[in-house]
Amino acid sequence: MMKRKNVLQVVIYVLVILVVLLFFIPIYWIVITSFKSGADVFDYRFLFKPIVNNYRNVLKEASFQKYYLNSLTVALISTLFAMIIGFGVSYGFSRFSITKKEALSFYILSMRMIPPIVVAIPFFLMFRSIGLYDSYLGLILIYIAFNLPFVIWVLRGFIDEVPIELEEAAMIDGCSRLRVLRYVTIPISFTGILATAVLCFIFVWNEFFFALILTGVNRRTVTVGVYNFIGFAEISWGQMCAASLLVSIPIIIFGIIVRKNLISGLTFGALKE
Amino acid sequence: MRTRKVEIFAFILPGLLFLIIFSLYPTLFTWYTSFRDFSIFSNNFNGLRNYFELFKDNVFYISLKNSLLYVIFAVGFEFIIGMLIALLFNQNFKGKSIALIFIMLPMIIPPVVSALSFYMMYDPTLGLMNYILKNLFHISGFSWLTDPKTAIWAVVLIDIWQWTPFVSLVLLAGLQYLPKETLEAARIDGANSIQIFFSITIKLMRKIIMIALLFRTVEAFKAFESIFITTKGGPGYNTRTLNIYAYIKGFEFMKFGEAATLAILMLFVSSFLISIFRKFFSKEEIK
Repeated sequence: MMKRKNVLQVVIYVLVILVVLLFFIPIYWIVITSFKSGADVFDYRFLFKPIVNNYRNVLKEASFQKYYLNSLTVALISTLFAMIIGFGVSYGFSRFSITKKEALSFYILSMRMIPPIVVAIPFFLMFRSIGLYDSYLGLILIYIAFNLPFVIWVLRGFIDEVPIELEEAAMIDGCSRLRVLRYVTIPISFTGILATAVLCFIFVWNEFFFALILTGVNRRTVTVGVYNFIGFAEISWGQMCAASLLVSIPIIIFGIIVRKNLISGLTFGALKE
Repeated sequence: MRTRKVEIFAFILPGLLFLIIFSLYPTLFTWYTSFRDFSIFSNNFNGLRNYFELFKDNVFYISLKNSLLYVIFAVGFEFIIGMLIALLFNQNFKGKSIALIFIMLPMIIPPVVSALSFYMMYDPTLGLMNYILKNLFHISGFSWLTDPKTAIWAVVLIDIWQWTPFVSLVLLAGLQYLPKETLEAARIDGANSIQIFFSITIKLMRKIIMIALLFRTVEAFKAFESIFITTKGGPGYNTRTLNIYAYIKGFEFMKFGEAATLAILMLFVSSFLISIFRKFFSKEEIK
């Protein structure tokens, strides 16, 4: 019996390692290619002389710095506003009785699920005509709208968990609604709020489609910037991989931080872990 | 708690206004555009012309077929592989949380990065895919992204790599909620693992499976990066999906009216899928 259990454990480990390898190989490939010189890129010998030139070249590229900064600016500001505006709606849905609340709430969710191409054409035309094309403001507005349904749904779950009795008690003691939010609701649901904000940041950072059609050379985000590496006649694979990794690193760190909320976040709170 | 109407409005109105301006209004605008002959040269009302033209357009049917192939095979494989991985990770073993972090990476890194990584690995002369085929299986290899026979499968594989982790983590969460007593009882009654899986596990997880499948179907239908970056819909029309076709019409040929027509058709399909969702989206029952 004992022996059978051990065999099973070994089988499990072999399978787990196999699965992990399958999912990790493409990322591993980016990592090692980013340390290879042009001549070594497609040399498959396991040992090679690692170089950091690719990183040095990418990092001192002015356009890369600019795109990175653009992504950072747009992601931070749009996340902040999506959180504030979204918090209002989810608090309202959680605490007040509103006619047709659930239908409205589901309709809001569906806004996030429809194909982006449905809203892309009007945005493109509008932004062109009112001067928001290739601007921070335009991108930020789009991304607030993009993340709002998500924030509303996920935050509502966290606010629902704050006992309403606590808020009532504070109000009886004479707190105004805003003070109740400040000293009761927000502190209690703070980890949830933070996790939601991090997920918003990840979504905006990773977003490609709107950034592609609504930005030019000035406000291009870094995902579009990385994609442009294959636009050149001769692709510098090493630099492309270095850039890819630099774009992925903040997201990987954030992803690991919020990993417990990742699945409930990606399913808009349908699954709680 | 007594609440005044003003207070309710102060909380929800800014958000709702934002969504009306940036989501509802553009959707209606696209609808309106779909009835117009709208391009850089003209902008006239032309009724249902765009729709009739589209139904006569051969490329539309090719794109529809590719969208269907993409969705069915990507979601299908994501489900099968995802379920197997979920069952594996439902076992006890040391280092599970670290393994889970590795598994999670494909779905959190920017989709552009995954697409570029595969673009590199698919390179016919120097890429990793053909290197493995040649040296491990002695197969001469393919020109993955430029061969009409393989291109669609090559882009589907990117989707599978990227999103199988999502399906397996959702299903794993579901497996962990299963009532242990029921499974134990079935085992005592002499049911083997395979019987238990098909007649109990699957049934109890019906809702979660539906949620995973619907989420993936909706997302796969609007897949963009995996195709746009690697093939741009080519070679020929071989990886052109409805989404890519709408993009090309709208943003490469600036035929906004025709692109809007495609977008509206996509909206119908998505709305249909989303309405199925609604049945499965009552939180209480999942928990």
